[in-house]
Amino acid sequence: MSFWKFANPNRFNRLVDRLVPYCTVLAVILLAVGIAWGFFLTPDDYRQGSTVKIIYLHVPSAMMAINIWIMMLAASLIWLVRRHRVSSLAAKAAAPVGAFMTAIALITGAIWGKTMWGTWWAWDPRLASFLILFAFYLAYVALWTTYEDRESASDLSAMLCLVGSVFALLSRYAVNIWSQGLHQPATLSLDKETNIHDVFYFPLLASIAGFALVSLTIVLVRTRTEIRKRKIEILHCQELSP
Amino acid sequence: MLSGLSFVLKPGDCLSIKGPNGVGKTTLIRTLAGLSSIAEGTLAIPEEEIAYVGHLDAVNPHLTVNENLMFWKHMLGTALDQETIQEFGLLGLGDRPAEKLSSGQMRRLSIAAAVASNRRILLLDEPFTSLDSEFSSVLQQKLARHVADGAIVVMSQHSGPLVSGAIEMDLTPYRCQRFVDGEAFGERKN
Amino acid sequence: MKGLLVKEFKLTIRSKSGFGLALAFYGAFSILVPFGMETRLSALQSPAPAILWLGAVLSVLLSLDRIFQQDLVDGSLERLATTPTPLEAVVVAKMIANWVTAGLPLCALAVFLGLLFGLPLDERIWICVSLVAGTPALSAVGTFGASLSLGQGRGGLLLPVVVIPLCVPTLILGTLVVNRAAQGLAIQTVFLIEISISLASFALMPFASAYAVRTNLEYS
Repeated sequence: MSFWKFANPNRFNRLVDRLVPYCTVLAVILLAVGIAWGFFLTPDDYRQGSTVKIIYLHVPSAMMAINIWIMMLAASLIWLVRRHRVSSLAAKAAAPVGAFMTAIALITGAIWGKTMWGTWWAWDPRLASFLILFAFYLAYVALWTTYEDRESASDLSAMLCLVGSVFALLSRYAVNIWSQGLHQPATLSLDKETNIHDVFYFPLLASIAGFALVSLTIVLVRTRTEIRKRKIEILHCQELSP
Repeated sequence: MLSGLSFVLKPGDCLSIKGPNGVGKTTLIRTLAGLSSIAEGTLAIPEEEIAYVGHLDAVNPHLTVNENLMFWKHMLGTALDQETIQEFGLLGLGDRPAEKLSSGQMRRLSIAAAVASNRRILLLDEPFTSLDSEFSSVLQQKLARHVADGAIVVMSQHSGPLVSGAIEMDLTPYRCQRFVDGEAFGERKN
Repeated sequence: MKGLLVKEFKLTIRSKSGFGLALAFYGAFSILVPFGMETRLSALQSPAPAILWLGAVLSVLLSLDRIFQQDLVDGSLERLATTPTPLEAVVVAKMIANWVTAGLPLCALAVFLGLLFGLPLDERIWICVSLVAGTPALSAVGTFGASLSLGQGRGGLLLPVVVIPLCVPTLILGTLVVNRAAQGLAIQTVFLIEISISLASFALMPFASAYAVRTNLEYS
């Protein structure tokens, strides 16, 4: 029994069928707990007031925006090396979710920025990096949409994901040299002695777990849909041929 | 597209691929040329010996006839056999821009660029299309001589004269409709 | 490789739009922008490097469509893929040709266009230098974009959507070099990074690009 047995689309779909109910329930609970706890049961920040509470949406969505791209990169590499179609379809299914998460991070950031910095937008390295990431998501989705009905789509988009990852990273460093930041350093990190206060920390963790599970569930369901679409395509082709 | 197909060609063989439109003649030629990959099985062909002529002419309209010939000579890294150029009636056309050529002349140029390279394996996709009867027989004789010299010729052929001694192969029985990973997606087996 | 380059240059010289089109666009763009701004030269000076760089990116973007188009349509690309010359070499030749015919002339023109923005000579020279260092990367990622969108035919929107994000690091660093030089700041690091992006793009993108061409040919 290895991880690769789920490269079989039927087996993958059966796994998804079994996982989805649990994932959905757990995701809803975690998200509800995290956000309700964060919004209603934590004190206002002495400086930022109630605006601080937007981090329960902002931080998790920003993390997902990056993680989904990394997942797409891994899936693309698996496709290029091992030619498992499910992997390619998973990358395809994940892209719009990632783009959506990036959009949430940008929008919540703008709302927070308006009240705290007094401006919707600033050319801060982090903000700019996310805008660039969003452009890469769009490029990737555009490529899939263009080649929707062709066998070459998987290969081309996997290659774009690979090259795009390198250039996204390059952009991140270029942007750092280019502009001094307004954004505070990362909210959470493993090697720091003190993160934000525990009162904010635990609801944030719950919210992050909720976002991660929601993303996972949506990506799984979308992948299942893509697999079914491909099956229909194959059956349709057989109907047409003698 | 095609399955269950298996053949071996020796120097001096000429294979003429037949079958109705859409059966996979072009696919087979393209696969032999290395343009398309095979899903199952093996393909052993010395790539450095191939000269390929597709259904498009590979003639740049903005270059002259000679420039086109020299370009392909460079790319194939071989000689340019003047005799072939003459036989295909291209000697007087050397400095003419390719966009001024008729479609028949264009096709002759396209085939001559490949045949004049003296490659040992010729892969031709419908070479007789848009050639008039005069040059059809020129090509027919040229290919026959090539084969007699120990070259291998594989061509898809809907019409046109048969090269003497050519093996004819109909692709119809090998036709199938399958996706590369169709089986994994729960395809019914025929 | 030599044969490929000779062919590319011959074609550019012969084609009616060859060198001229990208240059004409660059000129027109740079003339147009000040009309949307203030007339004082002092107000134009600070955005000038960005405008001249952006114009260069757009000009290169316009030239990408024709990199593979003719060879794809007449079947040359397909036949090239069957020759012993690797497709990677074909792509490198295309990149060099695109840079020499579309990128390099812009660098020279920028020196003169800088006058429209009231830039002093040394800043105009810095713009030229940073364009020379950065445009190879634009040609390299542009050729990659062109090979991705091969199967899509002409005039599609896919090409710019794919290429624009890939131009971001070069654009940032290119303008940064000029701005820092103008302010008398140290530019060594930024300039070296800009050059290394160009060199690395030229060295590595041909592999990605040839892969994309091969894929597009396989399913064409």
